[in-house]
Amino acid sequence: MNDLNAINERVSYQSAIGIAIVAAVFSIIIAAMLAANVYSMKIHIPVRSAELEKMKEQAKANPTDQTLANLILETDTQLRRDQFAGLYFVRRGTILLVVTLVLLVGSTIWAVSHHPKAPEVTPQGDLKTHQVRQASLTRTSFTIAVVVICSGALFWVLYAPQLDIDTDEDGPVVSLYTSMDAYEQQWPVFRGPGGFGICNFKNIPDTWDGTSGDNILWKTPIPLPGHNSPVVWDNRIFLTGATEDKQQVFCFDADSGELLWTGDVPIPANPAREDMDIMEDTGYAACTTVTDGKRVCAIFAGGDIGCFSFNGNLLWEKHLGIPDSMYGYAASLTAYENMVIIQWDVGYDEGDESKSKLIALDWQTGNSVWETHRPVVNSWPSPTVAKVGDVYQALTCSNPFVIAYDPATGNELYRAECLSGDIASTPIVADNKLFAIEPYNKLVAINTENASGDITETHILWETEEEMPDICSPVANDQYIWTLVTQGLLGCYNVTDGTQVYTHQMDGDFQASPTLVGDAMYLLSEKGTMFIIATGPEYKEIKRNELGEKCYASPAFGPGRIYIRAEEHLYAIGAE
Amino acid sequence: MNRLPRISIVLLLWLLCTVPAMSIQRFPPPEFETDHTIPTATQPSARSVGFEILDVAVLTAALSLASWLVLKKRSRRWIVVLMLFSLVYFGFWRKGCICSIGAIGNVTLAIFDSNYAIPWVMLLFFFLPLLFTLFFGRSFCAAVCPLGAVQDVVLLRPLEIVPWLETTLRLLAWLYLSVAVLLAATGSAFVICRYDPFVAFFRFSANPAIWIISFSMLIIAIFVGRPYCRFLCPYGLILRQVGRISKFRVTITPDECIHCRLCEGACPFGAIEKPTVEWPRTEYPRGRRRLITLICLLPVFIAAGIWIGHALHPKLAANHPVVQLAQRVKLEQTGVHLETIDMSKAFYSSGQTLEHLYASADQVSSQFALGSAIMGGFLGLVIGGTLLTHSIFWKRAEYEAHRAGCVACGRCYNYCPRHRKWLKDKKV
Repeated sequence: MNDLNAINERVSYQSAIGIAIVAAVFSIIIAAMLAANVYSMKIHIPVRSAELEKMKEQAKANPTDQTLANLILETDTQLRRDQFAGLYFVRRGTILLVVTLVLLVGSTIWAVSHHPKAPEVTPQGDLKTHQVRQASLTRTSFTIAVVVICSGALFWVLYAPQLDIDTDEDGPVVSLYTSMDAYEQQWPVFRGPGGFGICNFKNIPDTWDGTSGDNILWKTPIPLPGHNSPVVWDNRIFLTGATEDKQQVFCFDADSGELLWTGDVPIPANPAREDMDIMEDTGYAACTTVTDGKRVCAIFAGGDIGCFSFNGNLLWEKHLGIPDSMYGYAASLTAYENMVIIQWDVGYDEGDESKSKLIALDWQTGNSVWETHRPVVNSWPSPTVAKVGDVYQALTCSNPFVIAYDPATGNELYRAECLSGDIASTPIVADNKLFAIEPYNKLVAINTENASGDITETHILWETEEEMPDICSPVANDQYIWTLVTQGLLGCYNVTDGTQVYTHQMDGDFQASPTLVGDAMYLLSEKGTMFIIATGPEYKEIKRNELGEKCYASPAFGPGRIYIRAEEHLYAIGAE
Repeated sequence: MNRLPRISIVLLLWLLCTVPAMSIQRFPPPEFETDHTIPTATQPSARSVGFEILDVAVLTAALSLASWLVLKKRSRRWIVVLMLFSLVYFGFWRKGCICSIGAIGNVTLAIFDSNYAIPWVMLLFFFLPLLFTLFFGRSFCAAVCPLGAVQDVVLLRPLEIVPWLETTLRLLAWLYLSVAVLLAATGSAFVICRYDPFVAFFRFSANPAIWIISFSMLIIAIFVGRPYCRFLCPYGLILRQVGRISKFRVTITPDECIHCRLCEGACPFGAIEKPTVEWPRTEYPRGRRRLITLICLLPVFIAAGIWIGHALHPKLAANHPVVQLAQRVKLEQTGVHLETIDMSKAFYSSGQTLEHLYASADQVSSQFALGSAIMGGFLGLVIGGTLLTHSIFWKRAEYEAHRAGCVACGRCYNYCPRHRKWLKDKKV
């Protein structure tokens, strides 16, 4: 009988061991298959997804490519099939794994139960001492644990980084953004701070030669064409380029000229794009970018906006739709604190029917902060945000109004009806006067002091009816304002009363706007000749430097540097 | 034989490698036209009242049966059978939810937030085990809790945890309970549910972090009896305190203890208390001084707890979604993070102002300041109380199941010769 029991016991034990081994083997096999599935799902699928994304980008550029569309459809379907097959495998595999594990544990318990642990009676020592020792040990270890936990908590409080969302006692917390003072230390927008074309940097070079390379620090090819100017923040230079089917933002290293990254701004499929009428002189990338030192924002002829971080990640994109613009959209962007400001002057209707508006987008998100309707027709000047008196104003000009806005709210401050035609020159401020240009016809000076509402009858100080530029923006100091006609006629006028000081026919055609650098003015001709002239009451050429390449964009400046976008290259000029 | 547990551990460790496979990826809907109709997103309908009543009925029946099996039937075998049933019903069938342990969060939120309507089933799941513990000891832990059941069935090679380590580790449970209550009271999170260590097995699904926690806990449970119940479970901690005053409780022997000492090593949970002898006379004056000192220090412990708790409140407040959102938005506004994430995008498109968000976060932070201070004070009281408890001489004449620590698993019954005799007498 005992033998029979022993045999039964052995058989039972061996069965338990057998089941445990089989369960263990199955667990290993299932786990291995799950691991292989992990590899497939986590490694292969993302790689193929990235390829699919690439194809989708290509399809956006070539929306008519049916072969590519079919390939995308096929790849996408296959990826989905693989993904769901993988998930099915995971679900079934997990259930099987748990079942085999339950079997493994159960059979192990069964096996263990054949050799139950017999009760042990260990010899008792000195109970009195043992009790005291146990209590003492407990108190000590518990105290040590408490000290360790408290130390950890204090360490956490004192040394772990903590972002406080404190509400200041004086009032609620306000958003932090790039201050206007910070903007004014850089060259963040078209024609520098305020868009006035005034360079406050020191040691700007006055001698160079593009052919011999004299004082040319570096010269880097620009991948795509464009007439926009560079903007500069510390050692980063940004500009854009575009063709009919590609629009890109470029970031260059100011020290080496290396192209650090290229950011694509997606072009959404829009049949209206095919009818977009872009003049060759304007091109698809006429608008200059804007930067706040953390991001760069660009707009293109098709109304597509892209904002990138300084390392080239596309943060957000926005599409305003195809602008109804006679020569192609060309207004550069500007910025005010946490906002990117866009002068969206489109269409041919005036007044309430007009489709034009001034738009402020949040730098962070691209969300609209405010939009203000503008009763004007399509135009090409860039808006500027400048300190007028003690307050910042967003200044715009178009046909027929010069309008100033509060850049924080978009509320209109004042307007003057004084312009007509195809406005392209950017307004500037000097000597508390706002200057606007009507192409070919006149220069208008508006008194900004106490300006409010419609100031057409009250604040226009003077109008000078002379040959005026149709592209270049003016530049001024407290005494004189200079205008530069495309065909090279330079005019100098007194800011007080608009009387002509002199005119001079320059040698060449000009599309780049002039810049004041201290007591000198820099004028860049289409041929690539930089004329440096004195800012006195008479025309006096100081120097003339050749770049040897055609130039259409206004130059940008940095400490001891000039950055010139030529037709195909970006140049950095400065002393070695 | 000794190799089997070792092999099991290696196998389980190796299985951890498959953890990422359990995470689920999601695909966005296709961007092209297909024949497939994407189903409309719908919310799952609420569980029918009939099933809710069934859950409560099963809980009540299981608690009643467990109490009877533990106190009257004294059968480890039937306790195991009921335990397995509970594992299947409350674990695999109900997928670990509804759960008395997780109900702590719901009950706490219901107390502190008048807008939160707690389901009656949840309320019963929280209070019924407490009620049964008050009368019959921890019958819920014995055979009704699916988390306890998982740990109980995998306990193959129990190692002895020395009493001083047991007491020290239990501090973790107090911390966990305090933080969980604070976070639930402030509406931040139900951390007990979120970090349920066994729900991954019940649902065959969890994120990789939870799978790692689950497997780790399972491996530990092979060697340490019910590690979650003893050192982490917040509900177990509450039941421990209720169990101290329970009317009926587990007794190792059905009648008299003969001091045979056979049951000394029977409990894998360290819940059998030996008879004590008088302390050495030299220890009394020292013990008295220690006791007086600790009583005097108790307010100091509480004050220190309040101070540390209050100092920790900004860190703890960071678990609240409003504070997290405010912090993220602030980092984006200050340019530390240039990319927006779903959370901040949703905020920006909601039209709410930054001032409103920051003010809301500030309000939540103030709640945490008070709550953390109370939590710290409470933990100070627990620490002082524990030290006091271990500075008092407790007189005991027999081998007893610890009133608080005994999970009524019934393992000790079969070690007792008086129990075997009682069984034999019953048969006769």
